[in-house]
Amino acid sequence: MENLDQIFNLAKGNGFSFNPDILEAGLINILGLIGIVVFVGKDLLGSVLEERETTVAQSVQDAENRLDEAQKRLIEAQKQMIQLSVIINNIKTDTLATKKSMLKADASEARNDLKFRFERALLSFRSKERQIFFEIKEQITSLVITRTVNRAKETFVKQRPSAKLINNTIRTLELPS
Amino acid sequence: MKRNWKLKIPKKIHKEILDLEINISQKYLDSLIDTITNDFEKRKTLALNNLEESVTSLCEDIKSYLDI
Repeated sequence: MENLDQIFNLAKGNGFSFNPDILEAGLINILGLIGIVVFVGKDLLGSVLEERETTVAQSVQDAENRLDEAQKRLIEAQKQMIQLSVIINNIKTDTLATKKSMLKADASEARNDLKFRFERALLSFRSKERQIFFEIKEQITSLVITRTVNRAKETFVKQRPSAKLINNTIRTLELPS
Repeated sequence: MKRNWKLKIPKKIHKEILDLEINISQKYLDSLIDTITNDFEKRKTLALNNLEESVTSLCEDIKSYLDI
């Protein structure tokens, strides 16, 4: 520090100026000190720098290895993602197909149920129609037979003996129309 | 589980819709059969009240056929 003060004249209060006197400034001492430091510290500093270089190179190599590993994992993850996407699509397709088949089965069941109900309604309708037809037919037959029997009774009462009439009637009924 | 949920809910809704449609159809069929039955009854009553002409005609046919 004293040598530096001597070189730049800091302690004299006359401002900051360069001292060109080599002997007074002690420049030789400083240069000697730097030379000693360089000579002594070369080996130590070199080994530290080499070690530092080796450490940095190792770190860089490790980082590159980790980068490669990360890239491999990324590629693997992307492959797995693609596979999962395919699996998800397959599941979606299967789910859709299952939904469709289940809904179709329900629709088919409902259609059959409706068909059965319509057929039952149609049978009920036809049964009612047939029943009414037979009721009217029976009523007509009953009325006609009643009137005819009454008429026959009146005729048989008027025309005694009626054997001839009965024979004629039977013969008439036996004749082909 | 989620997949089953996704399948069961639409199936339940669809089933309910189908049941609803079937019930509506059944009500329509019941109403139709009632209407047809009432119409049949009216026609039957009308036919039974207008049998005189047919009965008379048939009686005349039988009388002429049997000659009585």
